[in-house]
Amino acid sequence: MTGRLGDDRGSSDVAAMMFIVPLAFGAVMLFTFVGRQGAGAEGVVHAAHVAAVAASTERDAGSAQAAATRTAASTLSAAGTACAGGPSVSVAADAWASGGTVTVTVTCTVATGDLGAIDAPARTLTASASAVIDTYRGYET
Amino acid sequence: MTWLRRLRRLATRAVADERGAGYMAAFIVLFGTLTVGGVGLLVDSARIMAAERQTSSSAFEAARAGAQAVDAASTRAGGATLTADQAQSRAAAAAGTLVSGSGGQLAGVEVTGDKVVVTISRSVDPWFPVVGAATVTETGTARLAVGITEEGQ
Repeated sequence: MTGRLGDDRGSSDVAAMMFIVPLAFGAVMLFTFVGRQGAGAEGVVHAAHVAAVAASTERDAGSAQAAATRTAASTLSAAGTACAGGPSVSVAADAWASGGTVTVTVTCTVATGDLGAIDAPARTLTASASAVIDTYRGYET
Repeated sequence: MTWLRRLRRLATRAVADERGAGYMAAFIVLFGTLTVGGVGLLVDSARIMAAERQTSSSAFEAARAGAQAVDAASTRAGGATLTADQAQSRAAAAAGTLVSGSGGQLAGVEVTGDKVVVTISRSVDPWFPVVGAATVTETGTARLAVGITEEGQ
């Protein structure tokens, strides 16, 4: 037993293993974090576009806001992007009239609760998209 | 207690032991490079994909705005058609509004019959030296469709 413990053979490998395993684990978590942010950013851009189209076919500001919020939330959940506290959607238009431009901004804080081991920060993704309001449609102002 | 002392001695030896340090250094350099490379690849390809999505969204919306330039006289006659030059100018104007601030450029508007095709390009500079600078070119197509509950009615 003493002979085994006093032996230097292989001790460097043990140190290396103690070092490599957490490092590899951390790298995998880092890749997961970065990949999820990237996929989330793309999902938010897409959701903003779909919400802008939905908002541009409504007849007034209130129903445009409702349609955009509903569409963005269902697009994000269909894409599998989990937003902590749900996505927040804001709708703005330069003019609520045909030919105006409606802009939808979607904000999503990507959930990182399961990546606590690398202390992943909660990042907020924002994307906005615009659509031209339908020309042949009546509007209430 | 002698057991604890032995463990401590083993730990001291593992730390003080310099055999294999070159191997370790090589490993750290390689591991670090691969990790940064992997993160760079993920981040930059995601940025390029998001730019593609955004550019195609702008192109599609500009085309949709153009495809609403319906010729009133033809509509009253029963078969709605596009006013080509009006569709062209509306799509171009909408594209100008939609790409402003994103760094995209309108590459072309094409009106053929009842179809409007808008092309927008945008270049993406990578943050990491893994993927090269990419120029994203996206087309959006919109077509005039006439109908009440379905097209052609």
